[in-house]
Order: sequence, then structure tokens, then C-alpha cells
Amino acid sequence: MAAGVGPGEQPPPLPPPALKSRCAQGSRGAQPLDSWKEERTRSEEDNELHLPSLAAAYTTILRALGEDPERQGLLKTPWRAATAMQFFTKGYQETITDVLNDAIFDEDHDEMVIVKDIDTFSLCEHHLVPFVGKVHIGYLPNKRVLGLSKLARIVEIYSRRLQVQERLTKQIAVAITEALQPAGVGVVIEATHMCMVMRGVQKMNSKTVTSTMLGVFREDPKTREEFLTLIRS
Amino acid sequence: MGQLHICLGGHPCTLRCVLSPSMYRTMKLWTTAREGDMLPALEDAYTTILKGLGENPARQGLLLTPKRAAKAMQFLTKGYQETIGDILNDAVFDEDHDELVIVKDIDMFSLCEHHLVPFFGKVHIGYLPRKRVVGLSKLARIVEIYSRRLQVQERLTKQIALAITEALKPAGVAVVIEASHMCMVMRGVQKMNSRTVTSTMLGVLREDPKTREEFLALIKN
Repeated sequence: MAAGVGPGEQPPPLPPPALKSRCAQGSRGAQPLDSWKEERTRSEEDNELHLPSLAAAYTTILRALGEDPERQGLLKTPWRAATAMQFFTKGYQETITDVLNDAIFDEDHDEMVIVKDIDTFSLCEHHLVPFVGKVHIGYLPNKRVLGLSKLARIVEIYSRRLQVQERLTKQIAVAITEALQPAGVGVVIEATHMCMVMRGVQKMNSKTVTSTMLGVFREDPKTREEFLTLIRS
Repeated sequence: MGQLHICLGGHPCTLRCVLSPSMYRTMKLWTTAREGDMLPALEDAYTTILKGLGENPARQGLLLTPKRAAKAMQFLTKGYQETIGDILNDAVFDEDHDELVIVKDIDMFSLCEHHLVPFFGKVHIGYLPRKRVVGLSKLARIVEIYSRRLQVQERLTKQIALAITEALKPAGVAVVIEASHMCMVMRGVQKMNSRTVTSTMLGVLREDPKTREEFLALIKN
């Protein structure tokens, strides 16, 4: 049980996500982040509709870089690159509701549940260059647990977007909070940013670590310590 | 846009061009002056891409993204502006050394020309000098010139080997590249741990199995 909570006591209530103002930079401009009720911003039809203009943009890019879009290796590149980019941002087409609806179960479990080393691939929204890393998620259930792969699916939904690592971490934590109302959630992401490795300052081995702790993970240092120790090993 | 490749051979920039003996005298593919000219077109293209993906290019995080992405892309393809002649001219030395010289674990970052997605890895270069050696960092600079382009790993390996051959006329050259392709890891078949290995062996490193074996053993660790 979470340390600091005596028998018969309720775990401290989860503070309301105090991030509505900070997370104003959601994918839909200056609107508050409300991941549970979020609407899709893109559909498969949109993808098909936009593919030609995306491909044309990539053809322009190839020419502007000094390449010859007619040569054999580059002939279909605009289409491939456009489709690849749509795949890298497919998170805009998905919502949490789609992924989670069925897999929440009532379970009398009140110990920490951790899913770690979830590979994540996202695109830096500043340079449109990938950043890749691992996500570690832990939560303390409050009578409801989530199918384990759903945690990884939540990571996928939010990482397949133009992202900032801080926001990605928070969105994952908030989504789990809103889905399960657990006693606490902790999310840690450790990633390598190609925009720092391949260009700019060019530091090969640098890693960026961000974390979000909500509920007892934030209030109680022992719980947080347990989580951080378990993801480290 | 005019002709992209001003090669004395007069043909489009393909592997055949790399084989031409005029490589030292190949004029720059793209001068630095034109880079600034191209920026507006690149920025517009990236703004179109952001809109086409369903994003809002006017939100704070994306406001300057077209410019940043355009500059990043120009940096990642800066190899088109550089020639071997620029970087090698001074650093070839006469040295009576006839044993293998190896520079290994050279970090390499390139862009897959099929998907415009990065691939990165390590390059290992070895050559058997014939009275002439090259400054060691120049091997890494040759890697940089050819990798900062839209590439295919096989061609990249060959171009590096041929560049060293033409610069030094050594007894043999070997180049091995081991890379991870984000187009296979982040999308498509999504195999996280896959690596692609390509190699080019020229001269005695191709003819003589013992020499090749020595090279491969030394880069293994």
C-alpha cells in the first residue's frame, strides 16, 4: 500500500491536473488539454486528400536542396516521404477512447504496476527530426487496472505527433490519470534527440530525461523512490 | 532551377560520375550563395507539410518550425556543397609505411533518399598505403562529405572507398558501414534492433583474403 496511508484511510485524492494552462500547447492551439474527450484532428480521408500536396511539397524540397527529383532513386521519394510523415504523425488520428474502452478492469490490487522500456519514436516539433527513447510508466491502482499493452498504446498515440518531450511525458501521465483515476502515476522518458546529435551542437551521447509524477508519486517520496528504483534496474 | 550537377563529364550525378578521373576537378555541386536563395521555397514547403499533416502552423511551438526545419535539412545535405579537393589538397604525405592503416568507429549520420528519414551508424575505414598516407581526420571528413546527402548505404560505402582510392592510389582500401535505418525502425516493418552492414573492398583488400581478414579482425573488437 502507498506509504503514509493508514489502514482504512483513503489514499490522498489525486490533485486536479494542474496543467490545463501549461498544456495549452496541445495539438489544437491554445485550447486546454482534455485528452479523454479529445476529438480526432485527422481522418484517413484527410490523409488521402492531403497526400498530393504533401508529395508536391517534398518535390520542392528535393529541388531546393540541389537534388534531381527525376533520378531513379528519387522518383517516388516524395510519395514515400509523405506517407512516412503521415505515419509518424498518425497519433493525430487516434483518441484515447478508441484504444482504452474495453480494457479497464476492476481488480483489488493496490501495489505499484510498472511497464518499463517502452520504445518511443516521436518527431521534434521544432526541427521535424526524430527523437527516440524509452518510456517507463508506473501507477498505483485504485481498484481499477488497465490492460498492460494499453499503456504502450497510450504512448504510441501521443508520441506519433509533432512533440516536445516535456509535453509528451505530461500527456501520457494525464491520459492514464483520466482513464483510471489511480492513486498516482509516474512517467519517465529518456530520449536521444537527433536534432542535437545530427546537427546543431552535435553531442553524440547526450540524453534528455523528463518525468511527470502525479498523486502519491508526487506527494510521497517513498513511493517515488520505489518507482525510480524499479525502473532503473 | 538549372543544372544541378556541374561535372566535367556533363552527365547527371550518379555513381558513374564518381568513377570519372576528373573527380578532383569536379566543380561544386551547389554553391553556398544559393543556399540562402532556397530558404523561402523550403520554408513554404514545410508550412504546406505542417498543414497537410493536420497541425496548426500558427501555434507557438510551430511558428518558426518551417525555418528551422529548412535550415536543418540544408545542414543534413551540406555534403552537396563540398568536394574532396577542398578537404584533401594539403594533407597527403609521403611516408614509407606499408602496413594497414585503420580508422574505425567513425560516427555517421545520413538521410535515406527513399523516405528522407535518418540512418546512422559507424564507418570503419582501412587502407594499405603505397608510399602516400593521408591525414587521419581527412578520412572522417570524406565520410562527412558523402554522408551529408540523400543516400543509399551501398552507394555511400562505395563513394568513400573510391574517394580514398583516387586521392591516394593506395595498394588497397576497405570500407565497412554498419547502420540503423530509422525507416525500418520507426515505420514499415518496425524492427528495432536491425542493422544493415555494407562493405567495399578494393585492391589487395579484395584480392588477398589474408589482408582482408586482418582488416576485419582489427575492426571487430
